[in-house]
Amino acid sequence: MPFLIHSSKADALARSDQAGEDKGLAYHAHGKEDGTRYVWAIIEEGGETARAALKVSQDVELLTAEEQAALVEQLPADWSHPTDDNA
Amino acid sequence: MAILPGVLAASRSALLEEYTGAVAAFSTRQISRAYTGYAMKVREGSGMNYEADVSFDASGNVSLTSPIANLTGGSGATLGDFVSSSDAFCTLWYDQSGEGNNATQSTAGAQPKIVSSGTVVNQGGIPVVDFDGSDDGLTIADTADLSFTDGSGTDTPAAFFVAHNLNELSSGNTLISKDAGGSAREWAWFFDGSDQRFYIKSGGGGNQQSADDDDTATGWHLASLLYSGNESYSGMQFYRNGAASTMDDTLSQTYSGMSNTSSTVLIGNRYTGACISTEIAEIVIYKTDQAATRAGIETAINTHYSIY
Repeated sequence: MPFLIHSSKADALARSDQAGEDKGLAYHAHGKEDGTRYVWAIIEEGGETARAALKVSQDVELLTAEEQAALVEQLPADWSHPTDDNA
Repeated sequence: MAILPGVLAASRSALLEEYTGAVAAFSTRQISRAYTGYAMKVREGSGMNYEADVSFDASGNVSLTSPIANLTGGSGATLGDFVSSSDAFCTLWYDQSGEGNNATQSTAGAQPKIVSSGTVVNQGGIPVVDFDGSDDGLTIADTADLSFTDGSGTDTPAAFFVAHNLNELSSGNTLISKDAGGSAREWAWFFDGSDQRFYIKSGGGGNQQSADDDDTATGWHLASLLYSGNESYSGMQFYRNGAASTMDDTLSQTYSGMSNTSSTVLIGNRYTGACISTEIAEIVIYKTDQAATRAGIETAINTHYSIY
């Protein structure tokens, strides 16, 4: 699945929100507070750097050409996954 | 003109009246005679992204003949009219328990599917909500109803009943959780690659009690989980199609009761992502001891679905 890496969760969320407006999702187009607002789900990085990746599983055409060129198929090798002591 | 939800026919299930006290109940069928709301809200996937509330049909199920209301656009009197030959995704699964613990998803790409190319997603004719295992999930706002504690450091019992068609046992992938990581961890029901596992976290994170189920398998089944509230792995018991599973691989760390954190409840995933591929027909959750009623609840669910 293609990912678009952002430097923070806020940036990723804002981009997904903008795409939701561009796509005419109910939250934006119809003022429905309980309506669909965002286009892409987000993966948050753990640790101090806390980058965030948009999972661009659909609607790739909502990205700019520059963003499409920046898509990666894998999360960066130095991605810090949240710790999960679930053993 | 808006269409009001249908009146519950006498033949429809009264599961939540027969077994009272559910704190959350989601289903593609009507399971409470007292419930007069919608089944779910959907977004149609034709590209217009119109949304509508979907009622139960005359038989008490979600189907293409289910009446719709509160359209943001588009047209039609039924789900089939509204969706035509496209897909539809669940943006909100209404809680039938009366507690208002609705499950929502505001991100289009993360909404589970209920209609695929004009056909309701189904398991042998039973409508199911399809979680794709990639990024799908629904969120219930933080509520004390789903924190299995009295708020003063003493755990309460919990009971889960889930009718679903599990597609995978991938490690970490999660059926349902109330765990935001860090200091906001309470409990999770997840898979470890070969088994399903339940943990409870103490003090908002850190230490835990947990146990897994040696009888886990994929496929269409009724999965039940009882936690007695005894603050130990020994109080955890999975059931598959009404039969108690063999519990093992237990983990006992220092545990002094579950905290009531602000974490949300996630259906189909966990704070780490960990999205599960499964198709869910029904989830009913209690915050009370159901040891004596478990078999009755399972029978009532199976009477409808004929799972086993």
